[in-house]
Amino acid sequence: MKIIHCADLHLDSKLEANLDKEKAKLRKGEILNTFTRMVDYAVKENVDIILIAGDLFDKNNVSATAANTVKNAILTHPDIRFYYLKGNHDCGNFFSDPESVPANLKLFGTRWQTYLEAGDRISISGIELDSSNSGSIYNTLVLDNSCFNIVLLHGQESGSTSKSKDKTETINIKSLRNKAIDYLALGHIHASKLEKLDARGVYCYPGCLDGRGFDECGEHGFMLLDVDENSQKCTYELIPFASRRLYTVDCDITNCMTSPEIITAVDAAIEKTKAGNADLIKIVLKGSVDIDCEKDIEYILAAFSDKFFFVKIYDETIPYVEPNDYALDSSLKGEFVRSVLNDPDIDETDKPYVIKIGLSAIMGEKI
Amino acid sequence: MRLISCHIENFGKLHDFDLDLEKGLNVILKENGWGKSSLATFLRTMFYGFLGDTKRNITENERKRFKPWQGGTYGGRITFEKGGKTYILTRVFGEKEAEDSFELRDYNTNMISKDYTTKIGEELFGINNESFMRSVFIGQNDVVTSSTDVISSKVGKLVDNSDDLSNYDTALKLLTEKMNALNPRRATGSISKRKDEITKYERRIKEGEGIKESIAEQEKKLEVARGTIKQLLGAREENTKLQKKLNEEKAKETIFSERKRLLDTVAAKERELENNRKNFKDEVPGMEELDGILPVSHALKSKESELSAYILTAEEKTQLSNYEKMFEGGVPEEEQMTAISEKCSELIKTEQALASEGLTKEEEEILESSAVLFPKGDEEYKEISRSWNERNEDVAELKSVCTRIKEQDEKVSRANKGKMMPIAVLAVGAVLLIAGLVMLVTGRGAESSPIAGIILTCLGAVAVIAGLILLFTGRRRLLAYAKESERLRQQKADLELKIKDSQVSVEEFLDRFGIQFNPEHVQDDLMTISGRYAEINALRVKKEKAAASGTAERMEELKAEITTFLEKYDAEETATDGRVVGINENFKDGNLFEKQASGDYLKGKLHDLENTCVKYRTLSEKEQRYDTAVAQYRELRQQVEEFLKRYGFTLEEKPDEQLLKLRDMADDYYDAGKNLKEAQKAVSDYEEQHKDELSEAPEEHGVSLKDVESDAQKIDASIDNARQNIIAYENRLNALRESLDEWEELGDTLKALKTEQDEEKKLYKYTSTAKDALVKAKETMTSRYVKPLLHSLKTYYKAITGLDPEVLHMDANTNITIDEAGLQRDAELFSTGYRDLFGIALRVAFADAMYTEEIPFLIMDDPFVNLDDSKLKNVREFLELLAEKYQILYFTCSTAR
Repeated sequence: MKIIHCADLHLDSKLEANLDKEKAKLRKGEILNTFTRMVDYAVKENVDIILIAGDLFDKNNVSATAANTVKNAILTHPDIRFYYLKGNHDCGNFFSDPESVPANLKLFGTRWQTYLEAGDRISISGIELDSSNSGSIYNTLVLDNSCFNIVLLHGQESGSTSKSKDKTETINIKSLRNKAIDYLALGHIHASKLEKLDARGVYCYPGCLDGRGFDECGEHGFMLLDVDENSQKCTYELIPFASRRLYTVDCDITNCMTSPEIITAVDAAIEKTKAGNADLIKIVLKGSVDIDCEKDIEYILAAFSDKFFFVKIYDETIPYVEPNDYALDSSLKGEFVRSVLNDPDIDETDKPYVIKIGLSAIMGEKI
Repeated sequence: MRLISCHIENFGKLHDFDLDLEKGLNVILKENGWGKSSLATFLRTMFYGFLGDTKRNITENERKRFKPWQGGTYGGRITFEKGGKTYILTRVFGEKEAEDSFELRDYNTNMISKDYTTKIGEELFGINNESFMRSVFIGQNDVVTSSTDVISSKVGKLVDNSDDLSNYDTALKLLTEKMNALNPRRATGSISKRKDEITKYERRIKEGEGIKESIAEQEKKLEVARGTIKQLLGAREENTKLQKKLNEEKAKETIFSERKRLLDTVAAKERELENNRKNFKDEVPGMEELDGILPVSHALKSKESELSAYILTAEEKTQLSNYEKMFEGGVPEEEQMTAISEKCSELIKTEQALASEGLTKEEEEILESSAVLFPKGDEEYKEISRSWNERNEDVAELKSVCTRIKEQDEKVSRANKGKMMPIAVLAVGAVLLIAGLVMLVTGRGAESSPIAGIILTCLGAVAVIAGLILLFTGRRRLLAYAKESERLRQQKADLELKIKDSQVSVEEFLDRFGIQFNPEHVQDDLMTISGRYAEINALRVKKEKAAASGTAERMEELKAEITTFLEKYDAEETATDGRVVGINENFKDGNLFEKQASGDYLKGKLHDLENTCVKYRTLSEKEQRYDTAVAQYRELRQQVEEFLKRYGFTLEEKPDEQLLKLRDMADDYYDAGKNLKEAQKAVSDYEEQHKDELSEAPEEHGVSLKDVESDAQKIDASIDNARQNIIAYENRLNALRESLDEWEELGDTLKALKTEQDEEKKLYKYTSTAKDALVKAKETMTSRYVKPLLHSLKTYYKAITGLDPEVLHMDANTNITIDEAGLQRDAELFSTGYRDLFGIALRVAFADAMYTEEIPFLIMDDPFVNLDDSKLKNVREFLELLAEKYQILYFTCSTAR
């Protein structure tokens, strides 16, 4: 039996943090289409079950288009069972009337819910975490040792360094060991991760289906499971499925003195990635740059804007001042630079910035 | 430090240029545009390298600006002395700094020297490139045409040495403005404004913390409402069941009620049957019997009507009697009547044929008159016509004869007139002949020729002969003319006589037809007479043809036959008034033939006979029917009377109505019986049909169906209400979720605001620190330069002008002011010459102040152009004074300076 495990689709996400309205709208549609493409893939590959481990939607209030697209995908594929466990971004208004939930959409609640598949040889259990049950789920989980047991949860792995603005519940992976879990289908972390849970099973964050921001760089997609019901052996494969990829390109421009030199350096840095024309790129300029360096960020951005779907540049360079350059300068500039460099009350890290501002003022340039 | 020589391979416009330099003053007298600026830049670049390598603008980027115009090696060498050692410094410049080559050799050993690096300028003079430029280096202005003003300006600016110190105020202002724009303590500062915004967002976020609780509350309400609706639906189901039970009981009650109604109907039918039976004394007649006697009573009633219809009136009886007499011999058969009718038709056709074949009266009269007009038929007419045609030929002949007579008369007249001409010819011939003869004879004119005499003689002879011939033929012609004229006159008289005779016979013929003779119309008149003869002849032929056909005889035969037939039924009849009249007036009068009755008339009479026959037959049949009807009426009445008597009733005046009433009563009686049976059957059927329901009496539930239905309505209303509540909760929930989305976005916005705030705070801190550092730097710089500067300034001012130098003052920005008329006046207010002096003195003062260790060379590019001659002497002394301390490269374009 083939099973798709996906999570963190965040349909209906605004996407306006980076993109302008027009591109945000286009991207929003693309992410929605990625979901329907995944369902088409399921049909083509004879997938029986699609597990959605939370955050199907991004917002509490789902748009009619997104809700209808998902509903239509479920209703028009009655042969595929959709197991949907709500995440911290999901809310209860997907099917407004609980009575109207179609038979092939399986939902979970705040108590353990188990469904059986493949003649009771595969069990799918899940629980939606909240403050009331997050501590007790480990003791209340009972699984049949003879089944291939899949468990769905949405939350942050304990000890994870990733931060979230939500008060997301934490999953203690260690407490789920030796519970006869074969595949722990998780959601919430947007980067894919497949690791051993215990001697029997694995746990997996498939990552988000389609990257939205530059905290979701690289390949994204879903996990495809192929379970042999008889032997209860399972293979796992991450299927890259994102419509576009995002890349953060760090570029050290320490030795650059002009914008063309910086463009050359950035070009070389991008070249090392697999970024294509359809992708989104964040260029981060790094290194210590001489304060006399001619660096026109808008000009540099224009050089890359037409090459990719979206490009933005972060200038994280630190201005660098060579004290010797000003040691013998008898002008006001020299006097000013020496004055700053020799002032023990000014923080060393602040000094280049102070000098840059002061010199700009002396040159009559806009600060 | 001293420059010894320099060689330029290529630099700007200079190419393969060499210059040896002495200690002290080196005057380079060259015209403007020679390349002094390139030379000065070359000297500086050899020690410091290029300025503005990162600049795009070619005027700011020296490497590009001084790139050799003519190509070739870019660079050169300088030989200089320092600390007792002589060096050769060689530089070759590439496209960028990394491609530059630097070489320093010891002049004496020609070995590479490591005494100095590529930063040789800074190592030699202790100042950087820019400071070097601002102190000892004067860039050349190549604009010759405005040399005085521009050079003055250049000197002043350089000496000012304040291209960054003079920016101090501007820089301070920019930093202050930036701080004000950011100031966290000012309401207009962006940090302060953002702080308010952040506070606002923080407050909104705090306020929004309740949204999740509200959502939870709404979800709970929604759940409760869904529970309520579930309960209500359950109650509604119970209510429906009770309604069903009550409806079943209600149906049972209806069944019992219906059986009672049916039994009541049976009782009513029994009473109705009894009442109907009372209408009869004895037995109730059967409906079949009644239906059998009712047609008899109807027939009896129609016989009564028939009797009144068939009874004969007195007049009809009299008429019938007359007709019987008329047709004693029998009524004519139809075949007979048809045969006679056909004969009448034939008679009419015969009459019509006779009328078309024979002549009319007018035609007869015309035919009779033809015997007088044409006694010989058309022979006479033909003779007259022929005669008239001959007469017309004679008239034409007469006209021709008259014409010929006239012509003959004219010929005779012309012949008589031509009698004299032959005589005249004869006479002339005779004269000529005589004359010729005389000439011949007499010889007159012989001296000329005898030919004239001969010609005249011949001519005379010819003329005489011609005259004789003409005279003879004229006489003969005249006689012939006279004879022909006589013959023609005789012919004319004969023709005139003949014409007259012909006209007399025609005139008489026409007179017979009453036509007046007119020669012009005779031909037409004869044609008219011919036409009349043709008409008369046609009538004659027609008459003869009619006589030969036999139609008249047939007509007479037919008339006789028809008349004979009609006369057989001639009879008299007695009219109602007792008067005896013949049925046919013509027959009675016996004038059928006297009146020469036509076919049409006889046919009319025959038609009258047919009508009489019809009337006779009608009256006979009516009399016969009446007799039959009387017998039938009597028989029918007896049948009805006997029927009524049998059931105890007597015959009334209107037996049909009496029997109908009796039938209705019997019908009611039988219907009542039937209805009773049906009612009884309905009871038994109904009891059989509802056997189960009737086995047990309906129960009492103590609640009415109406109340239960009312309860159902209330439950339905509650369900609707609960549904409305659910919709409202869902809507509210959606709104709250939307608010939650917005609220969650507030966090992102706040985070962005805080990031910006932190950035601006940092910027504010940097700006503030920079401002403090700038003020401090300026103070340090001022304290270092102003005093020595002012001292040097005064020394050089006195050297150039010979004036009291104590009038000079200098502010922190090295601006010079001069005591004048009790106040310190700005140097800008003085003349150009004085301004140049102040500037030159200040510039050298700067050099004195700045180069305390290794004194560089000075480059001066014609700075004294604005001085008058009186001061030039001082200038020379000033330069000589400077030359003691400095090696000077003095460029000028004037020998005077």
